[in-house]
Amino acid sequence: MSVLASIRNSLSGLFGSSRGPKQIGVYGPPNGGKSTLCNRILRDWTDDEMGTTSHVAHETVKVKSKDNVVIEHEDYEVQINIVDTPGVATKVDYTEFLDEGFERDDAVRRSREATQGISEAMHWLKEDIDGVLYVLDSTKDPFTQVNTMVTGIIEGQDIPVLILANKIDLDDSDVERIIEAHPDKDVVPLSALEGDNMDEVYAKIAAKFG
Amino acid sequence: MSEQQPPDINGVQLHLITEEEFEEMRPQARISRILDEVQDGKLVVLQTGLSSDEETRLIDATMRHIEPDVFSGIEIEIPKTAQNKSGGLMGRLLGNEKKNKLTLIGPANKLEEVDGNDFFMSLSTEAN
Repeated sequence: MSVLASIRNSLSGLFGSSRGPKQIGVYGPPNGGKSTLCNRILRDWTDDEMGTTSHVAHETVKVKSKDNVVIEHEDYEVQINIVDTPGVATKVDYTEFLDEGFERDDAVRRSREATQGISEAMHWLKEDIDGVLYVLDSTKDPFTQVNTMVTGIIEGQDIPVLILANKIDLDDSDVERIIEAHPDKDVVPLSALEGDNMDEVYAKIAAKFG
Repeated sequence: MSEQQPPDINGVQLHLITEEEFEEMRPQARISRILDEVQDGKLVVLQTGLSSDEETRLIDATMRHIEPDVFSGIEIEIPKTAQNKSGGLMGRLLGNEKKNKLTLIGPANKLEEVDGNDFFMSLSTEAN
């Protein structure tokens, strides 16, 4: 969070929440299920969807947001803006798109879009994000340098974060490994695709960002 | 400006940026320096870690420098002990205040060939 954003938040805390809903960024490595989660949240609470999803890495190439999403429960109500972001990476190799069957020109175009999207996601994180849902594929090793780096950046900017261990519907899901990687954070298991454990996700979102 | 040249690892050229040298540079110059060296195919060894702001800048700058068939990005390695100082992944957060910890940054296609732990072990052995 920038200095200006911190001051702005401090002032809004003193004088009431005139700034409106908090901007909740959905971050994480490529293919963790960020867009699937955004679509799940929007389907549950609005009549809309955020965008398409696929197994191809970097399918989301631009930051997308949906404002004024109201999550209601008998115990809580929270209004947020959901910001879906491209998966953050430190390398983008167009040959990975060739491996997915794309022609060279398409692969190069997609890789360029992906790099621009990652830059955009980092700018949002630095300037415009009040809270983060960090989405991890629970079938994958969470101890990667990119995860270390990005969660470090989030923490370094004092942005509250909720860790979401996604894809628990898959046989090789290992939520304990994610808890071990983030022992001092709230880790919520879920399947965004199947809608498993979403009640706990919403309760945690309300508690963390409400 | 003092500069030491650590040994090559597996024939890959290394470039050490000392803490003193790093501190003398402006923030954006630090990022440019790292990326210049990495784009030349070198592995950069930082004597001290990057702050969260520098890491953000590094990812952003890396994305802007990626060119198909020329440069596909970077990889970063820090010693496992530095990552786990306070337990788990978030122990890495100690690095946000720039504790003395070696950080290895290289081109994506070259760092894959170097085992990070072996590298830090051999560097430590050399220093002793």
